[in-house]
Amino acid sequence: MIELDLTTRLASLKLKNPVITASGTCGYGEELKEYLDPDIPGAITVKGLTIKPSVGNPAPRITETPAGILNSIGLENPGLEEFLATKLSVIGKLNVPVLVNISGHSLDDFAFLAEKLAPYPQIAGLEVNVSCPNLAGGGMAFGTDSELVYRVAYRVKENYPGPVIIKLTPNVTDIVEMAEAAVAGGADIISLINTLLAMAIDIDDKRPLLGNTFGGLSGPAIKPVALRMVYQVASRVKIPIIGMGGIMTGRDAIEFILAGASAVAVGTATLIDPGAVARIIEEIKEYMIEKEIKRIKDLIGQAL
Amino acid sequence: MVIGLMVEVKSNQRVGNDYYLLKIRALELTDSIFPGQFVHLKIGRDNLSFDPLLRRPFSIHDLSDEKDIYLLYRVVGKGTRILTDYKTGDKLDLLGPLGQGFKLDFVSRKILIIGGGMGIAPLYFLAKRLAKQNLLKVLIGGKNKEEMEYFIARFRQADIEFAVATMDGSAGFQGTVVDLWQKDNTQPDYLFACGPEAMLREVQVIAQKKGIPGQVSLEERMACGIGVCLSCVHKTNKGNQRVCKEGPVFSLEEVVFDD
Ligand SMILES: Cc1cc2nc3c(=O)[nH]c(=O)nc-3n(C[C@H](O)[C@H](O)[C@H](O)COP(=O)(O)OP(=O)(O)OC[C@H]3O[C@@H](n4cnc5c(N)ncnc54)[C@H](O)[C@@H]3O)c2cc1C
Ligand SMILES: Cc1cc2nc3c(=O)[nH]c(=O)nc-3n(C[C@H](O)[C@H](O)[C@H](O)COP(=O)(O)O)c2cc1C
Ligand code: FES
Repeated sequence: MIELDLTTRLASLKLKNPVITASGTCGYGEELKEYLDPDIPGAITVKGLTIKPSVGNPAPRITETPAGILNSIGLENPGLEEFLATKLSVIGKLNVPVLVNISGHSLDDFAFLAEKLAPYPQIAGLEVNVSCPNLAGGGMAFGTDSELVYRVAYRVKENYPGPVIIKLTPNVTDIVEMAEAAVAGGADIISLINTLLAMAIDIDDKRPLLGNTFGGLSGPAIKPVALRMVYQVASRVKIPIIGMGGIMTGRDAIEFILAGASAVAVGTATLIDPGAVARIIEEIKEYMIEKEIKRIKDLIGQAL
Repeated sequence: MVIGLMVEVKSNQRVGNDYYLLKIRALELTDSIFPGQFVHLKIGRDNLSFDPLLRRPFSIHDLSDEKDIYLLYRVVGKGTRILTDYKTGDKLDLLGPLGQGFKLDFVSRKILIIGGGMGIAPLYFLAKRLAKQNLLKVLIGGKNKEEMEYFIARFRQADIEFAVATMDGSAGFQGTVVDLWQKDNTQPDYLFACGPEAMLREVQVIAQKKGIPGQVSLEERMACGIGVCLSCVHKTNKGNQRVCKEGPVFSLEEVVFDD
């Protein structure tokens, strides 16, 4: 038996393995513990946080589409104050790095959240969700304008000493332009992809199926798109990448790593199989044994 | 590859127009199952089937004397259609029991149970448990006699006092089950209800007027079923609550129904 080395690096973050739980699909880590030992993931990314509490979107918030799910949860979360009062102690008990996913409706929101979260060593880094609308600037998503991506990255970096991950939205014409803007703004790591903007219509009611009309598509249906974007970004950008979008198996994860991701995140798979992260790690090991690969790091970007 | 628990299908029979009774053996689970809880099934020949992708939630309908689990399901779409193909001896991937069931520390009380449509499925299990120590009455309602026939037979067999309402009057009272309650004017100490949201809303209004406490079981579209994704939340007077985790059973007073 060869000794397998699954460790990977994301800027200053050292992960014991490359499989991370994706934001919004693992609560605050503890909700999963009956099904997934919280010590197993390489890191845990918690639900998107906003300054003020949010009740999210109207029901129905979820529907299934071919090989995918469409969600419009709408960033329901308890808000910063409640997060600091009750959730921080929960994530403080976890033994793996915890990434806090943040969202805002203005540049100042992002800067404020970064500053307020800076003092806490329980938080290993911030993942900045730029998929939300810029209410101050007309409602276009931050992540669809490279100037805004640059500024968000810059403002968060300015206020937060730890590693900053910019999480890109796929709803753009040129993903590389957005990735380069994030790098220019000072991002340490890039994660991609967030969900694809999509919809479904109920032909009996003759109305949009989701309460919010539009939702975000995730799951196996988006994997080829996500993989292409990771590949494109990895070809042009030097900072580490967290790849995600439709990863259901270890073999899917390996594809992302070969495309240039230093780590991967698993979202939708956990909603179906709460132990998916542990299974995927085992499947990655099986692949490494089969191919006689000792270090997962040796696979990063091999398909580029 | 195994996800959740692989359980064995004991039987899967059509028992009504468009609904089926599925009997599964899961002895590991039965001692911890309570009325009102549900199981989350991954349907499809392959555990990793992408079509359907998500699990599907079903209430516990009954436990057999041999501790087998009964689910009663209506065929409404792709998942339930594929479920009808399962045969005796086939394996199913099951997560559960999930959620908070009915709280039932009741003795010698006058209890009313009101169920509409497939909402009656979990109430049968509840009624069987409560009938032993309480004065129980069950009101059930549906579209027509065909839909109600199975339930009528089951409640009769269990020797539980019940009355039926159908929209077309083909069995029992003509009208909704709530109309039936109004007409029959039962004044219970406590009530339980499950069914379409419009029905539950009416039950809540009437119960409030009469000062009757109770519990309701809600349904929302679910993804994870275990509390991590916030797909299934419902408004309550304590804010949004997850139907899969804090529910599906809530106290009648705390649920907030939109108009
Ligand atoms: C806690 C809970 C307990 C349930 N118990 C039972 C039960 O005992 N017996 C039973 O027959 N059904 C029950 N349901 C509803 C059942 O889960 C859905 O009918 C089923 O998921 C439909 O799957 P499908 O693939 O056949 O339909 P799809 O093709 O997914 O959809 C067809 C139709 O079913 C409805 N539907 C889809 N998913 C859900 C869902 N998660 N909840 C409610 N409606 C949905 C949609 O509105 C749609 O019109 C329960 C639902 C919940 C949330
Ligand atoms: C129910 C649900 C909730 C999500 N919530 C968030 C969130 O709060 N913040 C965020 O950046 N991404 C969120 N996402 C996106 C995921 O983190 C991930 O980027 C996306 O789903 C693609 O990965 P997947 O196909 O493995 O799910 C959510 C996805 C789902 C399905
Ligand atoms: S279905 Fe995911 S939280 Fe209830």
